[in-house]
Amino acid sequence: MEIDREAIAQVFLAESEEHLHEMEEALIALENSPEDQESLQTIFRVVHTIKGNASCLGFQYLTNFTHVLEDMLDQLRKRQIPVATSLITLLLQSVDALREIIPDTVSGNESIQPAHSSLLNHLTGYASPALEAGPSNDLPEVERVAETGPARPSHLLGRSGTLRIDIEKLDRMLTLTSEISIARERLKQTVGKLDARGGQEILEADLEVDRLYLELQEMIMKIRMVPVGPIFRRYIRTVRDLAATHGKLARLDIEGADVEADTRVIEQLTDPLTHMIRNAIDHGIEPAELRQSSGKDPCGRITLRACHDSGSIVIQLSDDGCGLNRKRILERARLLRLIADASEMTDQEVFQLIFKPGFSTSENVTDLSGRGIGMDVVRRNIESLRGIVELDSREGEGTTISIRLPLTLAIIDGFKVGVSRETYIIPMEAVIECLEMPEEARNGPHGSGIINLREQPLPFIRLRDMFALGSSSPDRENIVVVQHNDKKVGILVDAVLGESQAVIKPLGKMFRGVSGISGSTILGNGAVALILDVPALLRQAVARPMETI
Amino acid sequence: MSTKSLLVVDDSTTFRQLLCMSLVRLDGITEDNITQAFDGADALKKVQSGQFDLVLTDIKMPNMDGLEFVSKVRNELNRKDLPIIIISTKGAEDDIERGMQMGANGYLSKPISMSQLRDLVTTLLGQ
Repeated sequence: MEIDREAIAQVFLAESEEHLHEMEEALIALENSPEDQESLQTIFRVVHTIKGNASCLGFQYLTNFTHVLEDMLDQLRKRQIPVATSLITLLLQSVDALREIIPDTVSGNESIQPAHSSLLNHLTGYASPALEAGPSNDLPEVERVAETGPARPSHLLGRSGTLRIDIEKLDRMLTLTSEISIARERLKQTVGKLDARGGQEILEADLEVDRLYLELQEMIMKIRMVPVGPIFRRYIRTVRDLAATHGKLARLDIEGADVEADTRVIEQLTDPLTHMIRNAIDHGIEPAELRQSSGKDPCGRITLRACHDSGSIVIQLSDDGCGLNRKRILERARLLRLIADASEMTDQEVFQLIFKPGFSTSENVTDLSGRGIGMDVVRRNIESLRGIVELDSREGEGTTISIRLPLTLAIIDGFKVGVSRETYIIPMEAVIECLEMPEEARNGPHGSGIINLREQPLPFIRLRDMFALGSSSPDRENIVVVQHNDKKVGILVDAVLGESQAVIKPLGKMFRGVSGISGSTILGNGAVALILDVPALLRQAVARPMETI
Repeated sequence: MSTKSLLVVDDSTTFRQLLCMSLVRLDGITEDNITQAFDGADALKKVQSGQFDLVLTDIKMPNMDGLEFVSKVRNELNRKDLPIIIISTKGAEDDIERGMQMGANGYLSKPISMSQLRDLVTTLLGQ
């Protein structure tokens, strides 16, 4: 394939992917309201566009496939065939097939898969009364526009001037800004040593550069922000299919599709959301008959919403199902020996049990969930994104799970602390207060212990011991109180160095297994500082005193 | 020969690019003189604010389709002189007929043959 056509085929690939998402969504909307003309038009237009493009690019098999699909849709439009679930399923399968055929075709592999031919037969069978001639007869071989001679492809711009960018490039841009910031810090120090007059001029110029630099960094952060809608909408199909395989009825409503978050954050949400949706369908939504008999809409409603709240993005998944069952959770927890006496546990405390590893109340292991991996994995995933998970449930009314995440994973508002010669960063959102370590509490055994903070016991860990930094503690130590999920812990450090914004760099392979560290950053003086993983530290701090009992 | 200004209208980026690539192979047309629009409404705005010698538009598009666009150019903007080529995909012949009745000057169907494109564009640009 010549270069231009190759470039256009890539555009076709990306564009078709978007079109297929659009079609999938419209199909499910049509299934829910068969009179919805707009959805039908969208489906028709998508297939028509793919067919038109495929024919211009000379993709014969794809043209035929979409042609058959179009014939069938035409009958649907003329109301010669009704909107039935079996038809929607067939059309959704066609979307899946196109998702395979299009990339194959673009990469030069136009061979026909048996599954696709059988699907094509199904489609033809469904549409047979009106199908006159085979589609390939309709398409005479002509000199196609794209196959003739070289010409430069015009700018790879999508609709309304948007551009697709490789996320790796954005990451690199961000890293560059942090490297520039380090280089500038050094420059500033050098300029400071110059004689007064020359130094002053350079210093002024530097202020201007500073302003521009901050603006650039802000713009780069903005480019990384994308709306959650496209990711959310993928679950419309998931909900439909999962509910169907489980013999239930459910639909997904989306709220706040325009809310934006860092593309990396959104990317990392896919797995936890899938788990949560599976749980909602498996454990939450009741079978249609049961819902009807308790006066509910037979079709269960799952809502996925996003909103911004004071510098965080909040993602909520609600279902109007049966809610969490306190009794069953407790039974299961006793079985797993997670608890002894539950009489004084609040509902919230009981619900927290479902986040324990290995917890599942499902009697049978199903396709959907109940494999014992689930909410603990969700919580761990979210915590690794510096987020928190909250849960609210009412018996008979449903369950809402809220995830609160930082808007970006790339920059962190941090609190710098010094231990020995090292600097560590504590995420600002976890920090509650700092105080001087009381002299009498400094002689704990393992570099950990408990102090009395305003009549409350506060477990603490000494970073020096935790990371085996050797050297002995200075005469005075400080304690930084951090909080996570209502639990508090003190982190014992040598010095408190103040707030600073840091661009996060992922840890290299060497450090990935190290508990208590979530990333690294480069300081103004060029030195590396490690970013502390507060939830992990908390787990250790709470676990340690128990080990010694 | 003077350079001509063209407007290419289609909701699909793939097709707009394919068409641009083919058009620049014709005499007197350069990439810089081709403007792109992604639906009828966008095209209508561009026709109002710019000077074009020829418009090539797809028919099936969201928001405002090609037929409505042709009708609005002729009746609302009262631009009877602006040559318009409508483009359909094989199998949608009704659309072509309606478009021609509304005042389109010519039509093409996908897959577009280079020779037909050349003939039609050259004729309508009066070269």
